[in-house]
Amino acid sequence: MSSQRVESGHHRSVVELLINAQPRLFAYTFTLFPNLDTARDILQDANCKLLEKSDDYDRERDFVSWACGIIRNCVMAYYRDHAREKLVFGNELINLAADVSQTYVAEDRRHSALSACYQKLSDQQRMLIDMRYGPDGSVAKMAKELSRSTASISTSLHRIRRTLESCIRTTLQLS
Amino acid sequence: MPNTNLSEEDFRSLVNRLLDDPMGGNKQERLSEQLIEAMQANESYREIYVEMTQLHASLSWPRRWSPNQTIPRTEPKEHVEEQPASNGSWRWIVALVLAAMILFAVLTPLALQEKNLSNDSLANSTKALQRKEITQTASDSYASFDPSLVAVAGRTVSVDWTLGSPIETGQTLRRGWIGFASGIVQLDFFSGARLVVRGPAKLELRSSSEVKILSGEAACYVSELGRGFRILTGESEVVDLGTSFGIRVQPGTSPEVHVFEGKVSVKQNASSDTVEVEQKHAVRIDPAKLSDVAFSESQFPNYDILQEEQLDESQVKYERWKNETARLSTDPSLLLHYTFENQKDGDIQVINQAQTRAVGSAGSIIGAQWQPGRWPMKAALAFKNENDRVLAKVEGSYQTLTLMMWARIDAIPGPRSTLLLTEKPKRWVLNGTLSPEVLEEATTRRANSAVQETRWMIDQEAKANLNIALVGSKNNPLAWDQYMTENPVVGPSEWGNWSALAVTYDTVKNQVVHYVNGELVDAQPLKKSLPILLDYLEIGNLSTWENEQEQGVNFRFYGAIDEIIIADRVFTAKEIQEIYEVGKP
Repeated sequence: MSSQRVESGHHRSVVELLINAQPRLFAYTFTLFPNLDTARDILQDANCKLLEKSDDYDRERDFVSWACGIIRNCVMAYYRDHAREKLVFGNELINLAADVSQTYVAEDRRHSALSACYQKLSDQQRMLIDMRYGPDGSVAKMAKELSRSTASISTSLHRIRRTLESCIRTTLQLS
Repeated sequence: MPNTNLSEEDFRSLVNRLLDDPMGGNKQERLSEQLIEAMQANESYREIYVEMTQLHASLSWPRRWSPNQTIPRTEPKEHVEEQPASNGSWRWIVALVLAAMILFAVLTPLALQEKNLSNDSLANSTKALQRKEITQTASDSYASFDPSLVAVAGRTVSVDWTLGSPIETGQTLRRGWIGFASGIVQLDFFSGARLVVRGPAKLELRSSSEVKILSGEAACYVSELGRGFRILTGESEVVDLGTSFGIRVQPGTSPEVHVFEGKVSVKQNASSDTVEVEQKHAVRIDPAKLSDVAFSESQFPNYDILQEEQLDESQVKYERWKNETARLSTDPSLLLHYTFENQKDGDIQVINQAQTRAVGSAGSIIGAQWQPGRWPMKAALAFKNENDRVLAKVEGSYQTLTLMMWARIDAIPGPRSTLLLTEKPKRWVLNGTLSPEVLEEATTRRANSAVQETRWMIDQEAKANLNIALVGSKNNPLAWDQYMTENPVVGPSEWGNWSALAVTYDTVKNQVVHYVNGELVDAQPLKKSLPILLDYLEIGNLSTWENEQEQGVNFRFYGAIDEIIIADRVFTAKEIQEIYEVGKP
């Protein structure tokens, strides 16, 4: 009974760590497979594997680094299993981006910096971000709803994201 | 060969295209090659790529896959058959466990710290959630209700819409954004919450129980059923725990919440603790903390203000219409102009206000009841019962005609809803209003007319139809020429709203043109160019013989009418548009 309780506690801790890390793990996955829906599917598969392997997780280790390793394998497996579909990216992208990406997601203040920077956007900028990233949001749909050209919407979004990137960098440096 | 010539800006443009511009085939392939080559050649581009893609993912995650979108909202049913597990469902279990845990963590952060969950309870909650999902899917397959419909627009006053199409009172609203520069809008959410919002405002209707306010002042009234209604303001979240509160969100300042009655819970952001704010208290939601501010209920819009302002606005519109319509009554082409003005409740006839009015052109009211019209101070006639109608007489045959009516259709109960029609004089005998001599003269006039009957109606598919009966064959005495709009003009979504319906008949240009709310919706060439005999008219129904009633012949109009125009010339599209503009409620 005692050992079972210990295992339960360990498993529960992994679940909690996994839940808290979801946004960062999704960002990591997306960097290696830049398609939102597929990246989410891959992350869901990876979540299963992470829970299955929860016993292997050493509490002394950084959880996100451990999880990134498994996710990386899942993305590689996805590229391999879907090779016939002529995916536009492949393992080259993993080799180029995985390490940098892992460094980025290891910085857990990035998420709160993004929240603060989002608040600093203008009313109009926040609306555009919410429309673009909300369910079913797309540049084409926004152009239709706002009676603007897709090029103009894209330009606005590029500028807003650039503003956010710059703000996040400054916030992290200051803190 | 690595592409070493790509500037940083060019590289950023490529990544932006990858994120915002889904392409297919060769274009996408070429884009990915360029990105890979650039990142191989320049290490700093890898950082830029990671920074841009991670920002994109971080903005998407909370908005696309928030817990309340993942978790079904129905409570688990205890005795649902368990479904056999499969690989797919195992994946769902993980998703649901994660979603449940996220929700749990968001709603009760302290609960997680207590760490009192066991594997068994986790497994049980997983099963329960799995059952929930199954139950939800099954019940959804029977439900015709569209979950993307979240609210209905109530009263609106002086609204200057800036985002999306203008919203009409009674309009069902889908998930999405609305914005207005000024005015007040009432939104009744299907969860049982009412929001009265004053502009300038921008808000996103996210579900029947959740709204995001980017800017605006709003009062929120929540019924017992609607408890838990949630208002998001960027990062912060306000959840109603009963009754009413006001919220102000203005760019550049922190949102404020003033609790009128009951209490609300407030969270500054997803990771902060929930704080309950009691009635007659107010807080400002700063990024770092909640600060007390002076409570004030009066600064927020409320239902009484909305009602008063709407009444004021109605009065202004009504006066404007009255002035314009008095001028219209002097148009010499008007044969009949029922404005339903200067009438008393209980009057048994409608006065023809047209300057050229002829004797008998007053309408005899049968059954129809007086009630408020487009504005509370204007009168209308309501047609509810099977025999409600108005009888009128306008003599003469006309090569050109305009028929126009302000009508509120509340339902289409049968295959035909009468707007206005001409009838054989014999039917009027049913009403006991024709002497034998008058009947004979009328019958002779009709016998000499090529057009026997004219019926302006709405059919069961809500299409407007001008139906003209010519002399037919021996076996089929009436030959009908139909001029029906291709599309519905007053579909169910319009029921209960006032519409300006019009049709022009023109033997000079040889066409019939239908208008709805000032817009031309259908034009068709005349099949035969013949004058229309008006004479005996019925509005809202047809006088039917007893045997016809027994056979279920039904022409009843169900709704209200508060203005009717018959002119012996063809009104231009501009004139019809102007009448609509000045008369729209």
